Amino acid sequence: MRPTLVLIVFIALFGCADEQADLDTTPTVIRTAVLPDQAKDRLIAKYEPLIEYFEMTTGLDFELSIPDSYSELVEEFDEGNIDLAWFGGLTYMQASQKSHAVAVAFRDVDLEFTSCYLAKSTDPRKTITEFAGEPFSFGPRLSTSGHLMPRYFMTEEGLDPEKFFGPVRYSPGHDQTAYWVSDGTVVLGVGNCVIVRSLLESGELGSDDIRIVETTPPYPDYVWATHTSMRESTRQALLDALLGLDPTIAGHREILRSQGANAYLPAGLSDFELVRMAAVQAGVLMEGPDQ
Amino acid sequence: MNAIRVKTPPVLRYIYGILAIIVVAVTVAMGSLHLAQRDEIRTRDQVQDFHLESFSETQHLSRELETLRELVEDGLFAGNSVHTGAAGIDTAQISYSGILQSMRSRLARLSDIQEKYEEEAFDATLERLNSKFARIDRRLRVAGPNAETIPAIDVLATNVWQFSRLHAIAADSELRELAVRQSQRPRFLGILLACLGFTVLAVGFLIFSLRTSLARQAETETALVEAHDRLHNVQKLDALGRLVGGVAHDFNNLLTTILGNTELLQANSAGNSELNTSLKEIRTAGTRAATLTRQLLAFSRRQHSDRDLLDLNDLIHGMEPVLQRTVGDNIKLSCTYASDLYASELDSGQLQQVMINLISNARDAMPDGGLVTITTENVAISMGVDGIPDGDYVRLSVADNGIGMDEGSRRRMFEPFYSTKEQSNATGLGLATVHGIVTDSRGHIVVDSAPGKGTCFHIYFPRVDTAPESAKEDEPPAIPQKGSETVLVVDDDKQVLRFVKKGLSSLGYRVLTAPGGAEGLEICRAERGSIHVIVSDVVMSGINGPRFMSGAKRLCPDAAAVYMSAYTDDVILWQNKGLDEIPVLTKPFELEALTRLIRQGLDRDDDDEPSSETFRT
Repeated sequence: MRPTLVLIVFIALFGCADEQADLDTTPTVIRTAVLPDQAKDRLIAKYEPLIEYFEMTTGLDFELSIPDSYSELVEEFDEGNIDLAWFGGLTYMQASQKSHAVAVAFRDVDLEFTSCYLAKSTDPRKTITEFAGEPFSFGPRLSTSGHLMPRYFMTEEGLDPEKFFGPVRYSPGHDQTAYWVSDGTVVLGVGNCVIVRSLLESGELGSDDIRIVETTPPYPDYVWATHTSMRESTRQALLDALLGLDPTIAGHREILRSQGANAYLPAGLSDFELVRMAAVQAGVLMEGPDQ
Repeated sequence: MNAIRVKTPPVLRYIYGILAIIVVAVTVAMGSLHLAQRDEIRTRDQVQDFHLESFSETQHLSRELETLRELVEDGLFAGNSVHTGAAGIDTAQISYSGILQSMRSRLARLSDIQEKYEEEAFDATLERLNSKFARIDRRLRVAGPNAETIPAIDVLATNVWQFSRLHAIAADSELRELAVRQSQRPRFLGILLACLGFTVLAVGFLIFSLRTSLARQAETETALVEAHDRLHNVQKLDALGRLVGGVAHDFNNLLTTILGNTELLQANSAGNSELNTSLKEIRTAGTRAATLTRQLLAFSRRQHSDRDLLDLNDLIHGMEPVLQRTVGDNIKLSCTYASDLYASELDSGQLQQVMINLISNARDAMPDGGLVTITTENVAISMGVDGIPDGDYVRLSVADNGIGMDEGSRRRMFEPFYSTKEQSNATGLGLATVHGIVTDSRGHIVVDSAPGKGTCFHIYFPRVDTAPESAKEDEPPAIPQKGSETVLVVDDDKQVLRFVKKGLSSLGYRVLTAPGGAEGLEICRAERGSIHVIVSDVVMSGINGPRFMSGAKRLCPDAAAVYMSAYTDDVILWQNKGLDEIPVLTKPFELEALTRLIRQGLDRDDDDEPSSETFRT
């Protein structure tokens, strides 16, 4: 084959490769999944109004699904079965590293999220350092607020949970952690403050059942993220919809309240730097380039 | 030697072409990368400016919103009424007016920046900002604050926050992408340069291999041309040898007659000094002619050789006085002999001729005197040096420090009749004879010579493992030439026949002659039992010498035999087959030599008697 022809084929192939990289998909239905950090029925009740709002503002169809575990959410997203996902901080970092998930927006509370240490209301102790040797429960293992960040802050303080507490357990959800504390399964538990307060406010658990002993320092958590294959205009429409939620508008106010938020803010990868650091330290994320 | 011109083959031109295309392609790629990087930096700077300007405006806007919120709160705490100053001026309205004016300007500025950079990602948020600010602005200017104003301001503050975060995230994303691209570029450039380096090395190796291959091909072709030259020379010398051999054969027969008859005449003219002087002149001229013929035969390798195992050292050492006389007084002769020199199979007479010729050549190359060095040594040849087959050799070197030879002379020096000497007596056969003798002895000659640097002949004789025979016994005493026995002489040259008959008869022998083999056999049949010696030519028309001798053996088994020969290919072949051991007398010969051989044969027969196996074949 003549050298000139080889060069032309070479250049053409490179050109095609670039074209291919620019292609994205236009799903007819936006497959949406949320982190299973609470009971499924509670999650459906929480996210259905938001999904309806998405449909109304973007004109697209949405299909909500709730995976059985945190890891299933990451796997399904990686396999391209999910277009839009509500991730926790850690699961987002994993999806970002594995599947180049693109952060869209998070709640104002997610920028400075906290975890709450819970004990029975009757327990007089005021700091977690007084619970040495007591049965303790984290939330799910891949939960940012229920496990990763509490462990990170405890480690920073020189406290090794497995050595400091008695038996250490992992609950399937933040609400379950609260119930375990309430029924005495564990003496101390740690979970998502928004969910805990929501339980208390809704009266599902009373202030005579559990109380907040301590809260962690703030860290970023939770984010809506899209698959990298999603068309940019669709991603922009979703961002506009979330940023457009206005607490002064009655319908929006209900949605924001169900989400435990005052407003949505644009989110980016760099917002989760602290989570990335904690995840690498805990060995659940590889050191390396992100999105 | 013919010069072989090495041309650049088409494949090499293609390789050069491909290399040039690769170099151009890589250069273009690197140039494009550089331009892309420059554009990238310019774009990045513009985008960063855009984000920075917008971000700066939103920060101001946030602070103004806080001030506005405080003013509204103050107004609401004041009982939700309009403050009126001493001059009846609404002070709250004045405060709102300034801050709102400033915010309007900032929003307009944000719109301008947005429009300038045409970034659509922020449009919806900016629109919300403008819309919500317009509502607050209108309400404050028209009706003043109310309970809904503060939540509206809070939402607007959230919108401003969203807007500033959009810019911060976009700027961060840009920087990240740039960092990724920049981190990948050195790797890409490294791969590109590695590819280029590898390609250059590969092509360089290819070119080197091709060039080596071409050089080898040229060497092979040169060697082939040289081999053709050598073959051509050999063929030329062979043709010349055949011609010379043929002429010499006939010439020898003539010389036999001339010299023989001259000898007879000399014997019968003892009292006539004038006749004797003339006969002597004839005999001298005949002898010189015989020498010349012998040299011609040596060159043509048709001379009979009598090779024995020889110690070259002994032979040359014995020749030293002769050699010194040959070179003269103004040339020094230096001989160096190797100890334990290998034996060689050589004809001592021929080797003496070789030495005389080489020494004469050296003398003529040093008209003003000089040094001739003769060296003998044992050498082992390997890897086919100078075209000599591998093996052990005796090397005889004769070197002079004379005028030397140029390339043209070197190439032609062994050609017969080629001579650079001006002397009239130069025959041009000296080195040709050396070449003929050495080649006939399975030897090789290598010549080192350059103009002004002298000449050295290296002659290689193959080593013979058998130890040389001890020195020959002294020659037997002279045998009386006269006799009374019956001698049958057979030769198709009638002049030779007449000379031999006359000469032998004069010595008392009874001589029977036959002009051919058939006639000779008839005489044998007729004179069976009375013939004592049979002398026959080798090459004869009709029945040749060997066939005649074979028949004569059956008829006269007791007769001694002698061959006469002018030496032709047939004789050499016949002798090489080892079929006969009959002594051979080289033509031209003198009568004394013939009678000596006859007497040797007769006396040996006497010793062998009464055995009947006296006829040796």
